[in-house]
Amino acid sequence: MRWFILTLILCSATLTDAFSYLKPGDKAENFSLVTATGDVATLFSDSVKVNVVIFFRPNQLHSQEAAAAMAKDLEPGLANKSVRMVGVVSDRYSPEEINTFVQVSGLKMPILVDHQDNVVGYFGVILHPEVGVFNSDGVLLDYRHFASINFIDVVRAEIRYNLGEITKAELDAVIAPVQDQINENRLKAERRLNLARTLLKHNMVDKAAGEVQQALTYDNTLASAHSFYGKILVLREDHANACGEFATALKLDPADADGLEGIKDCPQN
Amino acid sequence: MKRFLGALIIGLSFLGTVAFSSVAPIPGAKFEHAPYSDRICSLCHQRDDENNPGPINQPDVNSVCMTCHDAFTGTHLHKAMETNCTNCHNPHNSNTERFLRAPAPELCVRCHTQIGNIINNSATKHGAIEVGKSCLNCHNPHASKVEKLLKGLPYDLCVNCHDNDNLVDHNGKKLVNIKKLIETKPYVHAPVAEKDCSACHKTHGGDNFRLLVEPYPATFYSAFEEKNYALCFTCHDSTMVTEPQTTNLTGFRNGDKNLHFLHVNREDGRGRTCRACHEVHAAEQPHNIRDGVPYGSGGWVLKIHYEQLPTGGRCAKTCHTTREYKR
Repeated sequence: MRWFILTLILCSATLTDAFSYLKPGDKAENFSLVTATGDVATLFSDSVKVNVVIFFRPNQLHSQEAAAAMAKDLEPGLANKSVRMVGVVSDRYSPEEINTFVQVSGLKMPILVDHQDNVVGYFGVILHPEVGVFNSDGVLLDYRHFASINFIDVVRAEIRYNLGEITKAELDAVIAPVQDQINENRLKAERRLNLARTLLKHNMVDKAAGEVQQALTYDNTLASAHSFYGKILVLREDHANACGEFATALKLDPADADGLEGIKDCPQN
Repeated sequence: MKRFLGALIIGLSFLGTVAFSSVAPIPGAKFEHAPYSDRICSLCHQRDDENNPGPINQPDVNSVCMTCHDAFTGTHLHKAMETNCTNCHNPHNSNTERFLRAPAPELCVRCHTQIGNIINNSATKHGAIEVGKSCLNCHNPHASKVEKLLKGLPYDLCVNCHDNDNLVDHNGKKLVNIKKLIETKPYVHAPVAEKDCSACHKTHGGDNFRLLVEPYPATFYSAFEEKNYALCFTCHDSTMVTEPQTTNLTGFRNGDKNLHFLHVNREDGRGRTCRACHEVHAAEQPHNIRDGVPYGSGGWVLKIHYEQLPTGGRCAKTCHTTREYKR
C-alpha cells in the first residue's frame, strides 16, 4: 500500500501545470498580435505541423539565456521542418527593451507583443520562460517549464516527437535520462582486452595472455575475452583448453565472432 | 628594466605552462598505467627505448589512447577530453587514481577557474565538493546525456546525499530529508517537478542562505521587500505581487483586486510574504500552499485551510476569518 501511494505521488510530481488555464488537449484561441517589427501575426499557423509558443520576459536572466541558447542550438536545426516558433513578450516592455532582447539573443522567430498581458492571462502563465507545443489547429500538445539543465534538449525532443521524428520512448529518455550506471569491472576488463589485442599485434604473446587473464579476473562473463584467450591458446598449441574457451565464449554470446571462428577447428564440430 | 621584467614574467608563465603540460613519468608514483608498468614503450611511442622512446606512434594523442580505450559517447562531451586525454591524465603514472594529473577539484579548477573561485571564496559551502570524489560525485568527466556533464538530472543526483535524516550543514544545523519531504507530498514546485534543484540552488558554493541563487529570507517572519525575495522573481514576474489591480498577472485575485498585492503590502509588520503562504519544495495543498504557519514561541502551527474552487479559492479560519475569492 505504501509503495502504491508513493508511486501515485511520484507520478503526480511529474504532472505540473505549465499554463494555469490550458491543459494538453485544449484548443487555444489564435490571438492576432502586433510583432516587434510592426507587422501583425497570429500565435499559430495552420500551414505547419507543429507550432511552438514561448513566453519570454526581456529583462529576465532565464529568458535571456534561454533565448540565446534557442537561437544558437534550436532554431538552426528547425529551418527546413514543418515547425513555426514564436516568442511572446508583454507590452510592459518598451520597444527598445524588446529589440535589445531580440538582437542580443540572436532569435530569428517572430516576437509577438502581448497587449496588457492578455495572452499571458488567457493561458495562465505564471513563470518565464515557458513553452507550449501546439498542433496546426492550436491544440496544446505539451508544455515545458524553464529548467536550468537540458531545457533546449527537451524542447527540441518535444518538437521532434510531435513531428514524428522520434518515438515516445526516445522523448522520455531525453526528459528523464537514466542516471549513468557504470560497470567498472566490465570497463576494466574491456580495457585489458584491448591492451591484450594491441600486445598481440606486437607479437608479445605472453604479455597478451597475461592481460587477457587479468581481463577475465575483472569480468569472466566477457565473451570476447574468453574467445581472445582461446586464440592465444591456439598460438600456444594448447588446443584442448582453447576449445574450452571458445565454447565458454559462445555460451555467453552465441554471436561472438572469434568464438565462432575458433570453434570450427574443435573436435566436437 | 621594464622590458626585462616583462620578459621574465612571460618566461615564467611559459615555464609554468610547460610544467603543467608535462606528462613525463613521475619518479616513484603510486599508480602506473599498464603499458608503462610493463615498459612496453612502443605501444604508444615509436621506439621501445625507455630512455629515448621518441614521439608517439599515432598522429595525435587521443588516437594512441583509443587503441586500448573505447571512445566516450554522449550528447554532451568534455572539451578537455575531445582535445587531448592528457589534459587530465598522465599516460605513464600518477599519485592519483585513474592516472589523473591532480585530484579533483584541484585538477578541474585549473581550467574551470570561476568554479574554483566560487568553491574557495563562497560564504556557504556545499559538502558534495568536499566528500568522496568531489566534482566527480556529480559530473562525468568524459561524456553525458545531461548538460554540464552531469551524471543525471540535478534532483536525481542531489538525493543521492539528501535522502538522509542525519545530514547537517556547515554550521551543524540539521538539513531536512528532502527526498522524503518531496515524495510524500502531492503538490510540488515547478523546478522540483523538472528535477531542477539548480534553478534555485547553487551547487558549487554561494553567499546566500542554503546556497540559494538569489536572496530569500532565512527566517519565517520578515517584511516583504522585492529584493528579499529575489529568488522567487528569477522565474515569477514580480508584477504578480506589485500591481494592485490585474486581470492577467495572477489567478490569486478577487475580480481585478490582486490578493498577492493585498497580502504582502500590509503595514502591520506581520511579514506576510511568499514564504508565509507557500512551501518552496512540496506541499499538501494546491499552489504549494503550506500546511500552516508557526505562531508564537511554543512551536504551535496555525493551520491554513485552503480550498481550491472552480474560479478561485477559499481560506477558512486561519490568519483571518473565512475569505473567498473569485476571478
